[in-house]
Amino acid sequence: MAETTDLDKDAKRNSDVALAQAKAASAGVRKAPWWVTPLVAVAIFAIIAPMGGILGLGAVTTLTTVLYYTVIAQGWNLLGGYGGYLNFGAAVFAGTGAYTAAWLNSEFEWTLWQTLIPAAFAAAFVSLIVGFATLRLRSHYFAIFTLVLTFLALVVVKNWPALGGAIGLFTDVEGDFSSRGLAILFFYVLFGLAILATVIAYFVEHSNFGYALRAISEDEPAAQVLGVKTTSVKLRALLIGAALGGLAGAVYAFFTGYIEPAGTFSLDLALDIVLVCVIGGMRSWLGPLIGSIIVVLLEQILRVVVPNLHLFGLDIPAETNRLVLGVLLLIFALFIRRGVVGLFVQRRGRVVSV
Amino acid sequence: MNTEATAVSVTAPELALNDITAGYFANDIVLESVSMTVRPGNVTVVLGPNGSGKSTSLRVMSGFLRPRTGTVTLDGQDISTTSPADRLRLGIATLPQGRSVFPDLSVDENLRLGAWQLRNDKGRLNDAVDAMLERYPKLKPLRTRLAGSLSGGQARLLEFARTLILEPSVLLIDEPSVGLAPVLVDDVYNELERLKDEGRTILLVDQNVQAAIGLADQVYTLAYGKNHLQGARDSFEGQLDDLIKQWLNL
Amino acid sequence: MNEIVQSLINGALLGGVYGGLAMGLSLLLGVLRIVNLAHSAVLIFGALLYWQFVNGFGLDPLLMIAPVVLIAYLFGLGVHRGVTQYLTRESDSTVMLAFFGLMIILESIAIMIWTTDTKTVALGYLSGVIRIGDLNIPVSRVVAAAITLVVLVALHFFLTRTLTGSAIRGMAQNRDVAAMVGINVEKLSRRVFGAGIALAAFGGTVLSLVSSFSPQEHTRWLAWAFLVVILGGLGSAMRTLVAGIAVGIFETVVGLLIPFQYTYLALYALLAVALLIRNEGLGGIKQRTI
Repeated sequence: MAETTDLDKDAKRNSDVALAQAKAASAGVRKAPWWVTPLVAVAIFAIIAPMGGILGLGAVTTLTTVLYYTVIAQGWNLLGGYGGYLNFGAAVFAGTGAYTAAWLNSEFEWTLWQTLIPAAFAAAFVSLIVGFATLRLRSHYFAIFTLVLTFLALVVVKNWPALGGAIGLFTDVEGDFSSRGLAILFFYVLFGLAILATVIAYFVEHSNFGYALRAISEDEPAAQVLGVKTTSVKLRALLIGAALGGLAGAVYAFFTGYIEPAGTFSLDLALDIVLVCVIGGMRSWLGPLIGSIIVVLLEQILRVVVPNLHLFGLDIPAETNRLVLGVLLLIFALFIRRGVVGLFVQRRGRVVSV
Repeated sequence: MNTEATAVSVTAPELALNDITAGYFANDIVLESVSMTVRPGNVTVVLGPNGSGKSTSLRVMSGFLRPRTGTVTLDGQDISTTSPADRLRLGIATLPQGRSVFPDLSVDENLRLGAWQLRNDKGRLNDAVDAMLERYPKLKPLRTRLAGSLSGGQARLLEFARTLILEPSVLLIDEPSVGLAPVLVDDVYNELERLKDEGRTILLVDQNVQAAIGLADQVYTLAYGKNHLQGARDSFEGQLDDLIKQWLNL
Repeated sequence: MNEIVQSLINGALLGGVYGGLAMGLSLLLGVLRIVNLAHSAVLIFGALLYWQFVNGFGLDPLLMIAPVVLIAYLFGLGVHRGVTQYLTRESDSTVMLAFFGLMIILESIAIMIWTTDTKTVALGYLSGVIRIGDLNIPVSRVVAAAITLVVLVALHFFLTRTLTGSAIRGMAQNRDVAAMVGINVEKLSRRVFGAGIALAAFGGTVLSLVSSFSPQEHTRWLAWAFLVVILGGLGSAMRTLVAGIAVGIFETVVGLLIPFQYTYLALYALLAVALLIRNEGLGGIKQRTI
């Protein structure tokens, strides 16, 4: 029996080992201080806050869209980002809110403020039905179900005379507002809701509820074994998200003044919201906020640039916008999974090496 | 591949790990400068406490884990980057740890998949399946049963048969008795004894120190992912108790 | 009475087509654990391509199915090389995001080329009706159902009676062991993926024989395919066929009882109930493979 004696370790191999070890040690320890993300969020809101009064009508409307997306995306991200249960039916919840508000307004002349709570409840109610049917199963079923649900919502609303059928519903804000006054009103309503949604997301991320969601996304059976009531946690996350979506939808119904089924229940909103979270970063409460800004700006640029492009003398069809967004989603899913926020705030994690 | 080469194996090649460093994730290293040689016609046993890198060494040999540094050689030829399928073609077969039958396929289908590399030669494939059913007559009446419905012992037999069906020149066997009822453990070691008597080249990773040493020609021990001791079986006899105590203290 | 028989026949024929609609989704989910959210987009793309060949170029409707399926297969191989193979070790949600992106891309391209207009394939010599007593059976439905039947039965025999079929099922059950016995799982996965995409496009071609379609509303067919997959389980061609026929009969019978637009509600209700009953928890897909 012989102790394995030192084999002649040549210098090159030693340096290879050292390199491997150094790589191992440095992987994923880079982490920004904890106060950076809250500071960025506060700064963003502080910069946005006075804009409603400063900017022109078009720019205010664009910023309002950013805030609208922020509200829905923060809600979406609770289950989709932390929990890993992707919801491709964002339009269903926002649309439920929008239709509830529009119906209460056009039928009973409820004001914007009065319709907010019922809209949130209606969206939460729909989410309960969806959640009960799918959330006990794996995320696959939830994802497909939400994706095909948009089509059902479209068909139902189209054939529901009280909701205006295929024609849609008009909404009317009480009181005398100039068009600029209205724009400012919606801007600040959604500004408030965006802060609310972001604060909710912040507290969820730093609560046991948030840890439970992340545990579900990491390894659901293990979380279950550890005593996490996974179905109830997922259902609660979906419910909060849907309620936020419903709120945003209600404001949106008044914001546009008119809603109709095809535009309300389209996959475009689902695409936008998914993109917002993916580009921003699905593992952070800051992600949806930053993502909203990026996606809305990007869409504005595309809307201006694409129609003016003439490739080989051909007009570029409007669907090019969506094509670009789809490609972007694919790229982020393949290469930039942590989103923009993830590029700066990297968490310690297991990094698979080659 | 030579299907007739049941008996052995002076011609069997020598499989070796040379100075291997390997790990699964960027931030850990499971093996550090590990070297070992599986000599032709020998049973080489790798021992060590939990987490010492035994199974990882085997994974590096079978090609399921690429080493970061160091080489895997077969008769001196570098096969470090050869895929598991190609290593099987070179005659290196693996019997993995735990239950590894395809549960929703029949016993017959499991065997046929073991002989996947003969898929373009139906005659040889059928012969190989028949040969294994001759070797393990207990499997014969079970041919059409789903493998998932077999008992633990029957499934293990099927796994042995599936691993041997290509008559590999080197067998890598990972913890063959783990998870089996004590009654069946003896059967497994009897089977390993038979393989040894047939003069096959075997690398055996095991926690069952006594039984494994009984089979061994050569022994390697690992600790903390490094080579610890190595030598012929005789030099370990009588020291087993010390060794086990030492591991418990590690 | 005749009305009931008529709708049972219609439903069974339609349902045969639904089996074809769902097979690709079922195969990819069952064997590769990939939720192909782009399934219906591929399906509609296949249908549009088929429409282009038949209506646009005036080619023979029966002969044009094979080229569409072949093109889709090659496309599937390309997608696997470019996208899917990088996702094998990623989480389910990453995979779904990528396929949602793919769905949007395919849908956008389809609308750019063919606009959002509803399309109907010119059936030509398949446009007749078979009359048996009072029963009217469209030839195109019979043909579409028959082709689907042949394809699914052939697939069934391929999966259960050949060594490659065993290998595919084995890979679905335990990928690591499949690699250990020398199966080139990457190559086999690529081919299965191609087959899943090809089957989706095949579903599109037979669908276009029995129904008009529009590129925007493709997710309704995803709903149908999903329902068939939930009822029929994963990866088994025979069970998918039976589940498809069941859905087809359910749809036509329900259509007799309630106004047409509410059949959607009934089908979604059936889907929700099927999901509720399928309460096998998280291990579901793993336990019940093919």
